[in-house]
Amino acid sequence: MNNSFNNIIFLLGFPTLLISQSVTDSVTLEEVELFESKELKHSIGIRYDLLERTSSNFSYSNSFDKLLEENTTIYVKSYGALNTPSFRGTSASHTLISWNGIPINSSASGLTDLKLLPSNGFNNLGISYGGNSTIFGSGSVGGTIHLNNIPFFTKKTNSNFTIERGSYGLSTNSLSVEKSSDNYYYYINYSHLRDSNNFKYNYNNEVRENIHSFTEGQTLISNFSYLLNTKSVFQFNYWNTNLFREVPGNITVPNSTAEQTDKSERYLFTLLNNFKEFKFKVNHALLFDNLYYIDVPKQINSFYEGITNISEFNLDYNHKKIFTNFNLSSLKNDLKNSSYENLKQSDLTNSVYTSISYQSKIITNEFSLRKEFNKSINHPFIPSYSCELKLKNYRLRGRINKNFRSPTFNDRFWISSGSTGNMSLLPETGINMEIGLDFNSKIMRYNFTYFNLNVDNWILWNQQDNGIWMPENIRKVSSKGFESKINFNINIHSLKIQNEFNYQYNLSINKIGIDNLDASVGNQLIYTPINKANFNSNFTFNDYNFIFNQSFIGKVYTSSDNLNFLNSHYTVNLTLIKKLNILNSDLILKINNLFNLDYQTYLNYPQPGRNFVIQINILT
Amino acid sequence: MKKTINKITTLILVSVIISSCSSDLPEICTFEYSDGGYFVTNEGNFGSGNGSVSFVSIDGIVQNNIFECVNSSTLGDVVQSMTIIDSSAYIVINNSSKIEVVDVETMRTLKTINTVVSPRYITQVSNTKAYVSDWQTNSIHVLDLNNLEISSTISVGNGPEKMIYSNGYVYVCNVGGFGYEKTISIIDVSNDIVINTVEVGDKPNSIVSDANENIWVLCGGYTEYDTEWNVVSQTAGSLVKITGNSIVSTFNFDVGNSPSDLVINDNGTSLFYSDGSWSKNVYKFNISDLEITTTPIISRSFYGLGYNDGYIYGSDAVDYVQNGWSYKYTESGTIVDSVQVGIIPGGYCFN
Repeated sequence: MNNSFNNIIFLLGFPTLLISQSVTDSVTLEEVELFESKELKHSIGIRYDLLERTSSNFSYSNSFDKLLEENTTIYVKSYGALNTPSFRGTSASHTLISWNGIPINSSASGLTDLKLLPSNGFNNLGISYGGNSTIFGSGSVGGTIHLNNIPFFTKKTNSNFTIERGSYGLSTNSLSVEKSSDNYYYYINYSHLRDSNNFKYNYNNEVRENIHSFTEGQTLISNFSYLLNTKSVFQFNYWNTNLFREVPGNITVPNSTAEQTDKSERYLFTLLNNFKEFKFKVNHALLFDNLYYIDVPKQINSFYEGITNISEFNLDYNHKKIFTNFNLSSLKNDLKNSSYENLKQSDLTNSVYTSISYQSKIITNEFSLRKEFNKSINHPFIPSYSCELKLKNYRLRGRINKNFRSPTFNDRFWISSGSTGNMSLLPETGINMEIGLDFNSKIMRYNFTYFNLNVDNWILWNQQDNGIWMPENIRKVSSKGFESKINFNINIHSLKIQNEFNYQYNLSINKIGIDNLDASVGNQLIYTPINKANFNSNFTFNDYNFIFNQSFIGKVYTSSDNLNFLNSHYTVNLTLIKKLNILNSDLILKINNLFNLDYQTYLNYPQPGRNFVIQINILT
Repeated sequence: MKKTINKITTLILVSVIISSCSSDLPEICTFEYSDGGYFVTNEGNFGSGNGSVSFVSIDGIVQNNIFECVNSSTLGDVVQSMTIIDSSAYIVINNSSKIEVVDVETMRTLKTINTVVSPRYITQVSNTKAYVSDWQTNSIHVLDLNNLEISSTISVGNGPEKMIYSNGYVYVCNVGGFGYEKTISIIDVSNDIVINTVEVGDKPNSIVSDANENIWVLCGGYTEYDTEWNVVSQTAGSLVKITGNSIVSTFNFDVGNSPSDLVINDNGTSLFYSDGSWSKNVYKFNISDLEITTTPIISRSFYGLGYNDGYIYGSDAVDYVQNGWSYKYTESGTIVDSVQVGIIPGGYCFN
């Protein structure tokens, strides 16, 4: 089992093996299995990448959006105060963010704002391409981003203090302490961010300053794990965020006055037991998610305060080559919102999923099935079938599964004088199909994935003839394309060059119009690039690392008839890392947008030009 | 193997360079004005700053994005309305808090007025003055047409929008924004003083004056919610006729309907408006009619309505994120032409 487990990791093509490092560094097999993340267990047949924040990789950014832009083919839109990710031609609400297996997308909007995720608070960041609703439930349609804190049990104490200063008033300070022994593990990370973001840009041939874009906030993330005996462990995870932001308007709005404050607290209690062939896991998550949006001159004072309770029971059973998994969960949302009828709404969803897989050295098959129960939404069965075939250096993989996204609280309960939610919305559903080939050798790794997914009953807010905005199950979207990833190393004497090339081709087409005039039919979805690529090289020479990061984002359409668009852009970021002898520290200098390109990822929201970041990392 | 890697590297670099060079060049355009044509203001998506102005010639030839083309600059966020005074057009861009004053025939910017917070409509009131309604500050600004500066400000009711000039007075619809209002303010243009505030129906949204100098106000009706968004009450929309300072007649619509977009024909004898609860139609009302009709002349919902020179114009925003359409009908409701304009076409402007 040890071997096959390592094989899986190896064949999945992790850039460098963070998991396996902690695995091999530490403990016995039992515990390895104990901490196998949920997504890893169910990543059979799909593309799964692990992102790292170490100098041996290609990004050294504290901001999550930069990390994704530089290392993945996820499209990140930046507008107002928001940064949202989207995968494979779907929208940001089709991207699920999972924190140690717990979905954290806003139950009000279905979105997750990347600005609220610190990239350095997790020791394991995973990206699953394609939907996996069978395991993760609603919203895992285009892809899932996993934020994990994985403990280990060897005597070790680490601490890491990072100071980052950059152009336009960027200032982050973060401290993390990690301490472990034979039977406990403790991790705490505190970071403070302050950013004026007052960069200059060109508008109508004059230089302007990005005003009303100040951000300040802090995050605390911790994980405490205690080994009760060799077979069971108790874990407690905590995550606290408090972020204030001024919300800038687009370039044509001279005086935006909106302000937003996000406050969230997340608690997760987990108990794991490992009895020979059985593994039990019980957990409970309590999530408080609050947002306050105030615009005094416009007389807007809106808020939502959400409380989510998720209880989960998970049973794994393994006999020889057969692995089964049974999971029961209950998700209860209580939301207060200034724009909901009665100002508050509640919802309870119970779900059950089960999976069975056969895993031999050559072939792996997995079948899984989910069913959700909600008194006002009728959910279909969500099946998934995956298969992998391993032959020497090659792995052939495929999955066909159904995915879904439930209408959000806003979609269902919103009410204002100009808009209303729709209680009779159906969940969006879609079939995802993908096949891939991975090749691994000592010199290079190559991953190719073809995908074809559709989303039926796509929910769209549309203005009714009476002038009221209301969401409806209107669109049917078909998205297909391929992703290609090449990793190769070049060694010239003591110079080591690691390279990674990522490319995605994606046609994402709307199939159904709202009437016969609708020119969106047959056209590419808005804000969905057909071509996206990045090419990263990391040069290591003695104590120096030099990272050369190139990103290309193809043209994106801003209107559904594809008559309006943002031009493609090519940006280059450079990072120089010097290991210092004092205090075991790294000095990092980074130049973002080297060629000082004017570009936008969302219409009329300019991005910063050339800017500089200096960072000092002190490790003890 | 090394050769293969070199090949791969070269291929990748070349492909990146090629694709980054293939960015599209801006389109080259000129604006050709012609007599008898009309302008359409396209709001664009709120928050995206992609509002625009289209020009449709008398032969139905469309030129879109004319402001951006001519001036090489973005017009702005929510292009609300456009009014022609003498040889200048005043393009009101609500969420960008500005008014672009341009030459009608060339579309070149003459001046940008940045001093109004939330401008909605402009109406000329004399040779030297125009009024600008400002939704957010509950006021009408007096614009000096000689120097294009705001010379003074008049307080009116909540959420002032459309206005009409008639016989020395300006009648202002106080729509009330997202809240409640039911008045029109009457301003004496000789001294810019509000001489009367008349209660009409709930949420007056559009206003015209007829051949006999009567004022017609179309009110949308109001749905009142309590603080927890339960419906407390719902009132009917109405068409109100005003002579001088006082209401002479009121015609009520069905409760739940939200009539809007009142326009009038050139000789001031027939009114046209959209009405309906779920889907809307266009109806005609002769100023001498004694009751409102239930038979539409055009069975279609429009986002905006216009009238000029014997024709009714209606716009369709389709899915609100693509170019919309403008339709031209005869007064009896026969379709004559349709043209594709910009994103969310909301307003018409005739010279």
